[in-house]
Amino acid sequence: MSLSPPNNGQRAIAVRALDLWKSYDDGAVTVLQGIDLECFEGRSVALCGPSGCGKSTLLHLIAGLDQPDRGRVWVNGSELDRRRNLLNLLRHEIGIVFQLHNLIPDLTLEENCLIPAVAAGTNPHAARQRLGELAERTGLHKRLKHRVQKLSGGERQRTALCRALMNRPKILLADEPTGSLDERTGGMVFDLLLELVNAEGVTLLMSTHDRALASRCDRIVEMHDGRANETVCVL
Amino acid sequence: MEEPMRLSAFSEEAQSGIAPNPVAQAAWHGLMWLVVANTVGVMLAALLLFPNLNGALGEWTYGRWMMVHMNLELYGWTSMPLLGFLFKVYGVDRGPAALWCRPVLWVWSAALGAGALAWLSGHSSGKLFLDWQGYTRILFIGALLTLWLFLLLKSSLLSGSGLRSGKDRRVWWAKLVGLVVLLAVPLLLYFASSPAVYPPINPDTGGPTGASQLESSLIVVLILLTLPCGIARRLPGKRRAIGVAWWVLAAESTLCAAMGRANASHHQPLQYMSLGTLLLWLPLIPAYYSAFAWHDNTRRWRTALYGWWGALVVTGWVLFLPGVLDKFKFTDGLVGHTFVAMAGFTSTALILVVVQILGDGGWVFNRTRSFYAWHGSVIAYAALMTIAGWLEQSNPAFTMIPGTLRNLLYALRLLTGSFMLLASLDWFVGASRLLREPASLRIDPLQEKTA
Repeated sequence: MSLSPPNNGQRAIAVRALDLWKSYDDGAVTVLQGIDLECFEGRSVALCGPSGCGKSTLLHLIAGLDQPDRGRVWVNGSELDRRRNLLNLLRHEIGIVFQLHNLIPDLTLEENCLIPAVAAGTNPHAARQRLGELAERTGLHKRLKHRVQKLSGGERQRTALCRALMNRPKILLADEPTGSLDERTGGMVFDLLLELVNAEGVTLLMSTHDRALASRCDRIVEMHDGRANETVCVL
Repeated sequence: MEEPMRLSAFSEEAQSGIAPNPVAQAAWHGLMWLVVANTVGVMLAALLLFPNLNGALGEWTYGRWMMVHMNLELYGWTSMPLLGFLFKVYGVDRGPAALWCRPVLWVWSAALGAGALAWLSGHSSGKLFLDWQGYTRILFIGALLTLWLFLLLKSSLLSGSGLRSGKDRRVWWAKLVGLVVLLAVPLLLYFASSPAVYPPINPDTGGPTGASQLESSLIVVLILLTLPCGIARRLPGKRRAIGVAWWVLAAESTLCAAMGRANASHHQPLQYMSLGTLLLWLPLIPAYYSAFAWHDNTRRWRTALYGWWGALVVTGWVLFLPGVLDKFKFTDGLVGHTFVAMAGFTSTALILVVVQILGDGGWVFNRTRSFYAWHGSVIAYAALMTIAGWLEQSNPAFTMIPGTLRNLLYALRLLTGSFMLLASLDWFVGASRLLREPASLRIDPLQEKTA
């Protein structure tokens, strides 16, 4: 089944997944069973569903962090090809926020955020300027020199958000971005996430258990047993 | 009209008067890979200094080139000259057998070339120095077995000819044991490359234990003690130095066998004290080597070997000590130590062997400019990386985020790498000339000029 929302405003397709299949343990566990999905640029899409339904796997395949058994993925019109363009897409087009932030604990907030800019070859001065701008928006500007170990859970996830946006990606993939936070902190981080993606015109594809948060996205895609169903299409 | 029959490559060589010199050929292959690997190394050093250049590499990223660099240094440069050593020891470097040495070397090089392309394409087992995976794993094991079969079939081992004296019989047995041990290499390499097998690690550091370090170091000592036996005459009246060395090796091996290998912390006195027994080898190795007759051309390389051996043992032990390892682990400080081991000690030992076997042809490695460029650069490199490691232990982002001091150290590192590349090019050009020398100019070092 193809999941394409009505394309009001003739927006371009930012992410397209076609007939994605993925299994583990030599095929013993099939996680995705022919997923089709299209996301338009500048929109936010929530992937909802019970644990194990394949939300994270789908995000990992779209990010190129894992390979599908079958199927194809396009990001901003370019087909994902591990040999040709994956690194370029990861450096410049895609930002990722993980549930457990995946920051380097021995480094400071500033250093963690600068690493993707170094990898992308960004001018150091421009990178620091960009970080200053993001830190200001996320309220982290006074914590730049603090090591990750010294930051609270909410601050760490905000840092992960800054890091993901450092290279001005066009697509932000967020895997349970508030899953490790309490309800209040999670709500605050999510507010910030939506504010930033709207301000920067980023396409957001997010997995979440939280229906309340999901309902604030433009679309909700319900996943069950490795298959996807559209439940709500706000725009 | 019938075309004249083409001469084979072998007979062309025979007609031109340039008989094959398998040791020089092995050295040439090793040096070719050294030049390639050093070029990649210089490129990697430049990438660290100018991260913008990463964008031009596409999917052939820094990580993939690093694999190529390290494996070509190990399986190319530090392995192929030893093939020359084996050719000499097993007597296949002369007579009709010598004609087959070149194809054996090319099979090895071809497997290595295929491996390099596979690593660049992202195919790897993910295990350091055991990156062989898929078809390249089969190809390289095939190259090792080709060498092994060649030594077995073309040496005089199977015929057993010329075993007149008791000494001859002892040498025959030693060669046979050596060949059996060599057969274990491809088998072990094949199994160790599997993701299912992994060496024991120290739970405190994520690095090897003192016992496993001692074990691997004793294997290096065994190789060091074995090398002169096949290529240099023993001097009369020097039995004691030789005997003491072998007895100490036997005692340390017993100690090593008595220690538990896995799950031992470097904070345990038994671990760092047993590793400290390697310090005994600081005087023992020079004493042992002085019991053999060496060609004049090896003089400066023997001196360099003693120096690098001392530096390796002392820095290795000090870096393993509690309090030191905790600071230097996973830093550029350990990269510096690795450089002492590979570019300093191992390269020097290999060149010493090749120079001894080449005899007068050893001039290739004796040009003053390349000798000092190489050793000076390795010393400078190790010092720079020790400084970087020291700074990194207090500031883990030191090497990741470009800054003035970091860039200065990395620029100097690029410079030292460039000098090493030039030195290796100098040797490679010399070795290429050596291959074209008539056989009559070559002198057997076992019979001629010795120091």
